[in-house]
Amino acid sequence: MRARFILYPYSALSLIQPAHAEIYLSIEQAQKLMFPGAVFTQTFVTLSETQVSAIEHDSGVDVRDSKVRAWRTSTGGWFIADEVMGKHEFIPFALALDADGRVKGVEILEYRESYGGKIRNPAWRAQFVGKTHGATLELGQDIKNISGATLSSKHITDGVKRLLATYAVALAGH
Amino acid sequence: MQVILNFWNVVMRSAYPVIAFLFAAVVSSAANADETPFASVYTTDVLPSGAKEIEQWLTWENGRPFETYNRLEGRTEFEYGFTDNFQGSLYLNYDWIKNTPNTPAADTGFKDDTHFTGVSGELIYRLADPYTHPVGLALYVEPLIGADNREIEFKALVQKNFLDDRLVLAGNGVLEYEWRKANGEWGHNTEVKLLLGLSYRVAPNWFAGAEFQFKREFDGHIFSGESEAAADSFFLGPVLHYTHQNWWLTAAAQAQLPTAGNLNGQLNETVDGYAHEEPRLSLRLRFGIEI
Repeated sequence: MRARFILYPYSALSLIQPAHAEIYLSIEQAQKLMFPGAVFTQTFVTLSETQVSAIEHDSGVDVRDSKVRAWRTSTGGWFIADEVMGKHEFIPFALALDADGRVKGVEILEYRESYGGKIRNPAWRAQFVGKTHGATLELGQDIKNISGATLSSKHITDGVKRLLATYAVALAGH
Repeated sequence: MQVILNFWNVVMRSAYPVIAFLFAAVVSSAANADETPFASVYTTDVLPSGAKEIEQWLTWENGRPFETYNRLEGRTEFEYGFTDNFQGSLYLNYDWIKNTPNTPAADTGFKDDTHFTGVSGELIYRLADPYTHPVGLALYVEPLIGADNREIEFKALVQKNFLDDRLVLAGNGVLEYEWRKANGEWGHNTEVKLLLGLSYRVAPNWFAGAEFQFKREFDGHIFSGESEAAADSFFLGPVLHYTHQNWWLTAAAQAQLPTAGNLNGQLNETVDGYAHEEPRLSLRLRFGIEI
């Protein structure tokens, strides 16, 4: 109970938020864009501690939130809404997987960071298409860096890698 | 209380036009800002190619032995990203000093001066980005030219991030050569510094941390064969940083630790464990905005 006091300063500070956020797509808009004509079934999952450990071990990326916001599509694919840390703000993004677990697309839903908005570049995001669980997904290796947007590029790359591991551990059997 | 009033008067007198300009820029600008979570320590982050930023520094120094000492130092800076790894800036330096000797041991007399101390240039080249390399590394050079002073400062900047880049550890090695003109003669000094900073993202847009500084002063220029170490001093204090989309603000305090070293044995080089020529306390405010 006492530990709750630790959160008070955090909550107070969080009230002072940037007023301007660049919202590109809502979740519904991203779903229609990434799976045109498909029907979506909400399949939210709460990861167990064992699953979190497995994902972290597999991807090498920390799992910050055990709740997975996923939708199964009528085409057999998956739509996952997630977010990664920018330099100061979270960057919400969406990952689309086809029926075989291959990356179909990555969309940046919102961007509020100072710099790094270049991660919306379609050519950069296209590098993820076709990647599967087990792919290297390392910035500077199979994913090219965006000069001047390195931190955002790195965190989105890590986010995709973590979600591919999440798919393998928690969604593929659904 | 008088010190606080003096400080406030000087801040308002000297900084009002700058603050007014920056406020106008904040409410009118739609662009974004880049920054460091520290007040004294540099990270290896530089502006992206083509980005421009204005920074305003205000540093208040207080407390020296045998004197009632107050100094307010200002710096107005324009930064530009030449490439994604190469940043340059130009800045104006000015200060106000009010010094009242309290005992005959004080080596400076009464002073109440505001003056322009010089123009500085700064170049930073990043060799390794901390987001794609195990450690970030950058080199820094800063010449200063004033009417009766010259300086050139070299720095090696190192940065290591942890916990998904929420925890930033940065260190700077500094070598600074100084030339000061007094009574028609140029005196030579050197400062060697080591700065360390640790800052953690405690909430979205907020970083909190601490900065440490070690400084060794030399009479003469080191590596010239005619230098002598004079004193060591140590500083430690907290730093708080807030960022908005297109501007940021950093506030920090540094207290001198009572562990100074008298290296040349001269009388009063250190007093009660504090370096004579260094302030006991300094407060720094930095404000930056993308233009």
